[in-house]
Amino acid sequence: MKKCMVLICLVVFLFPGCGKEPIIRQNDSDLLILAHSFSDLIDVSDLIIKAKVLPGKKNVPDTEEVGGHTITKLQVLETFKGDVVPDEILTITEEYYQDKDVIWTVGNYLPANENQEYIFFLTKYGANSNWSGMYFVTDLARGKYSLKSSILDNLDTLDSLSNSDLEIWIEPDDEYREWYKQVIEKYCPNN
Amino acid sequence: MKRILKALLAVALMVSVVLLSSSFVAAHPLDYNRWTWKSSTTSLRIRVFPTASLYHQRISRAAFNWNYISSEIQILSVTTSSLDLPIEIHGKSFSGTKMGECLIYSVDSKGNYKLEISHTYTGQVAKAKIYLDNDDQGLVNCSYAEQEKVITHELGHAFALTHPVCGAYALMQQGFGPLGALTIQSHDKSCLKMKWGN
Repeated sequence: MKKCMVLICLVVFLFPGCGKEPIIRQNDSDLLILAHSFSDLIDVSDLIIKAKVLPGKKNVPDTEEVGGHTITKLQVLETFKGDVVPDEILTITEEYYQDKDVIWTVGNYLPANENQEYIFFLTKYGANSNWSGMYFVTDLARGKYSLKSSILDNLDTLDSLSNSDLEIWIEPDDEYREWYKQVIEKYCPNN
Repeated sequence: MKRILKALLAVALMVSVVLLSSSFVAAHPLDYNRWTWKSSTTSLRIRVFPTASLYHQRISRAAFNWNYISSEIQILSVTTSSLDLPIEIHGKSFSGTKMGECLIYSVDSKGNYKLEISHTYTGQVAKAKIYLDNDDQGLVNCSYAEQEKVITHELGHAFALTHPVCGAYALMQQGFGPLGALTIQSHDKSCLKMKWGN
């Protein structure tokens, strides 16, 4: 019994951070917004794909103090726009950076979860960019739509789903829900 | 004739009042942070680092855009000298479409700067570091007016302003477009005054 108690105490005191959700913080930043409507989003994106997020995300700091981005690999499952084929592996930048237990994000973006499927709207970096050959998610949260069953099974009540259910941050963003419905209607009509 | 003129004048007045009130959205307490500056805010100076020198001219214009709105916020000069000044502007390559960022720091008794979280910090800020995108594809390719907007926006963060939670047309909204103004708007002015005083 004593041994059990000691073990429990050890677990409680030595691993208090285990399973702790990271804190989300928004950077004070300004962005170029590429799409002001859903049709803009389709027009400005170089790629529109259904893809699976592969494990092994890489946190990349870009100042000596704080900040950075994340390099993420995607496996293409289906292409709706652009010249990539199923099973092709793409590299994208996600505009968030994890510093210990804090996720510094930009706008309303929340990280894409590993092994989960999404519809992504992606824009290609130019040849002279530091990230040449990679893509970025067009307009942050508005270029990423989770296909997890808890959303797809509740499309009729999408408006009542919370931001965290939709994997967007806490800012009010009713437009995201409207765009989500259009994404599903256009690219996943059988759901 | 006089009656008709009076009636027309009254209608014109009513229309302008309606138009003004519909475009004006009052400042919200969430539209600015609770921290304050450690140094005087009526004689702030800005240091531009070589990595941001391509924006020097726009930085000067943007800095003085914030003057004469609140008597408590006054930028005195923009310089490249190597002094330790409260506001620093650097350049760096941002991924995605991020064009600028503002970080705030407190200072301890030994003179060490510590990064603070702008939205939750309630103490005194000793330094703000602004980073402007200098990647080949980003801010560099924007028009001068857009560059000036981004710089003015980041300086707004250095004055504790946040992205407005309401749908107001404002410079402190992100981006350029239906909500993101290129120049300081009445909403930005009222937020600055609410934060720092008239």
